[in-house]
Amino acid sequence: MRSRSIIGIAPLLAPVHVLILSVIVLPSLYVVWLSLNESSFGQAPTFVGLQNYIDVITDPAFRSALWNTVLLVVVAVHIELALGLGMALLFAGGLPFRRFLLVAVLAPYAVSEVIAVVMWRFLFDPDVGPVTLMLQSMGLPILDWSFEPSHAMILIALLTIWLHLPFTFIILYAARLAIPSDLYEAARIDGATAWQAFKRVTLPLLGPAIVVALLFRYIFAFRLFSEVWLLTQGGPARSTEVVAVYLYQEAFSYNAFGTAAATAWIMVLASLLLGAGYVFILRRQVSANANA
Amino acid sequence: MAAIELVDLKKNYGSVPAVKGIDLSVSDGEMIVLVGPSGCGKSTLLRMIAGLESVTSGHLRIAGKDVGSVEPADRDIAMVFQNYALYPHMSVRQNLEYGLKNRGFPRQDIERRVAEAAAILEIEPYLERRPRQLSGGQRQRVAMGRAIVRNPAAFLFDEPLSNLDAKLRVQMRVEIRKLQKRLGTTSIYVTHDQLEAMTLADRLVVMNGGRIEQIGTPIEVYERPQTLFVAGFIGSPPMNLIDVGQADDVDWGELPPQTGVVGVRPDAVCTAPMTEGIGLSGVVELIEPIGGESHVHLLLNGGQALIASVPGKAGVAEGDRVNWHIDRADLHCFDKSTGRRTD
Repeated sequence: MRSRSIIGIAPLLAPVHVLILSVIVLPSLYVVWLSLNESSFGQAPTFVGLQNYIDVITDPAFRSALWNTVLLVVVAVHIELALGLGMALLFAGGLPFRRFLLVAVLAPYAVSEVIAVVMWRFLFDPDVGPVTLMLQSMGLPILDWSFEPSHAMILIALLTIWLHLPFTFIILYAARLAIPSDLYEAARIDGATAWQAFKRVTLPLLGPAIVVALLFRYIFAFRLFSEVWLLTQGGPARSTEVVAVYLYQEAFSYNAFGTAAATAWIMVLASLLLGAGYVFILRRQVSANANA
Repeated sequence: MAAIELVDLKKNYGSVPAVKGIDLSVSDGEMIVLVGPSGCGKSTLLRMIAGLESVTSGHLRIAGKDVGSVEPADRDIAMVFQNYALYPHMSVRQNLEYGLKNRGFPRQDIERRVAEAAAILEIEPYLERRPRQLSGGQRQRVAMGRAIVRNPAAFLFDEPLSNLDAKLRVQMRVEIRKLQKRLGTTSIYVTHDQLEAMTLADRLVVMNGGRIEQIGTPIEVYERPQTLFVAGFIGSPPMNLIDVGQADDVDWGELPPQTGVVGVRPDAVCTAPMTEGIGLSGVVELIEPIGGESHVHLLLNGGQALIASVPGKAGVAEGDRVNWHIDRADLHCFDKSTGRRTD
C-alpha cells in the first residue's frame, strides 16, 4: 500500500526533484570533480587529486583573503546583532513616529547592493564626498579608503552593516513583539529591574531568533562579494580581498577553474564550521541561561 | 495581609475616562469580586491597584500606606494573570523562585517557601517541568503558587479561570475559594462571569461604565439590586424587566412613585393557582428543559417577553395559553429614567 502510494506520488514530485538535482546537486558534484582537476580554457582537464586544495591553502593571497573575510564577518555580524537588538527593543518599547521610523530603518534592504556601493562611494569620496567634507569641517580624520587598506576595511564593514541591519532588526523585532506583555508585568510584580527582566525574560526568549538571525547572517556575510568588488576590487594590492573575490579572480581573471572550484568548497566548509560552532555555543548559552 | 482602600480613584486614557471615581474599602482577609461587562473598567481598576496602570487622581492605600506612585514590586501584592504569564523558559520551580530571588531572599528560605506552596497546591510532581508540559489547570496552580510563595498582603486575580474549560473552571473556582479562606489573604478578583462572582465573593462590586453600581454580599445584590443595570446583570437567566407603561393590561396594583420598570426574577413566577398576586397571561413561545428546571419563554399579552424558571418539566407545551402570576413581594421597582430602585 505504502509503496504503491509512493509510486503514485512520484510523478507529481518529479519536477521539483529534477529542478533541485539540476540546479543544486549536479553543479555541486561537478564542482567537486572540477576541484580535483587542473583545468582552463582550451585545455583538457587533468586529474591532480587534492593538489588544488593544497595550492589554495598555501597561497598567501588566499590566507589573507580568508583572514579578511573572517574579520569582516565576525565584526560586522556582531555589531549588526547588537545594533539590531538595541533597535528592536527601542521600537518595542514605544517610539514616536514608529511607522515612519520603521520604513526608514528598513529602507536599506530595498536598495540594490550596486546602487548602495555607488551611493557610499560618493558619500565617502576622499575629495568631494559630503561625509568626508563634514568630517574635515569638524576637524576629524577622514576615511582614506582608496589608499589605506584598514580604512577600506572599515568602510566595507560599515557598508555591509548598513545594508543588512534591516534583516537582523526585523527578525529580532518580530520575535520581541511575540513575547507576551503580561510576562513583563509579571516580572515587574516579581520585583525584576529593567536589566533583570532583559536578562531573564527578553534574552532567553529571543534566543532562538538570535540564533536564526546570526546563522543566516554568517552565511550571507561569508559570501560577501559585491561590496568589496565594487568598492576596492580587493585592492590596494589585494589587501582587502575576501574569499569570494579571490574565487572570482581565480576563475575569471586567471581562468584557473580547478583552484576556483577548490576555493568554493573550502568556502562552504569554512562557513559551515563557523556557523555550526557558533550555533552550538549559543544554544548551550541559551539553555544554560534558562537553567541558571 | 492588609486592608485596601480606594478613595475617589480615577483613570483617564488621554481624555477618555476609564475609571470614574471609585470609593471602596476592602477589609483585611476579605475576598472582593469586581464584576461587570467588558469595558466596564474592572480590569483597569485591578491593574491600578497592582501598579501596572498609573493613577490619574485619587488615593490608593494598601495597609494604610499610600501606594499610588509606588512600583508594583514594592506594593506587597501578587497577581494571577488571565494567561497565567508563566515564564516559558523556566521550570515550575524557577517560576516560583523568581520573585523571591529578585528580592534577595536567602536560599533556604526560598526552598522552604517553594516546598510549602507546592504542597498546598499539589504541584510537587511537576516542579522540574516547563510550563508548556503542563495542562491548563496545572498552569493555573503554578500561577497561584507564584502568588502565594511571596506571602503578600493581597492577591489580585485578573479573570484567572477564563482560559479553562467549563468543568475545570468550576473545580478551580472551589479551590481558589478554599485556598483564600485557608490563607486568609485579602483578595480582589476580577471576572465577567456572574456565577463565578456570586460563588467566590464575600462582597460583590458590580461595575458599569467605569463606576460602581452596587456593593454588597452576593445575596444582597441578588435580592435587592439597587439599579436596573445590576438587576439585569446578576442572575441567570436574567431578571425580566418589564416596562409598566407598555404592559398596561397587567394589574400591577399600587406601585411606588416614579416606578417605570418592574423586575421579576424568573424563579419568582408561580404556575400554581393563587388567589392573590399579580396575574401574567400570555403564550408559551419556547421551552428550554435543563434538567432540574425548565426555562419557559412567554410572550405576554402586552407584547413583552418574559422568562419563567419552572421546577422539573414545565407541564405546558409550546403554543399554550397560560395564566401565571407573581407575589407582589417579589416585584423589584425601578425608575426608568435614573435606573434607581424605587421601593
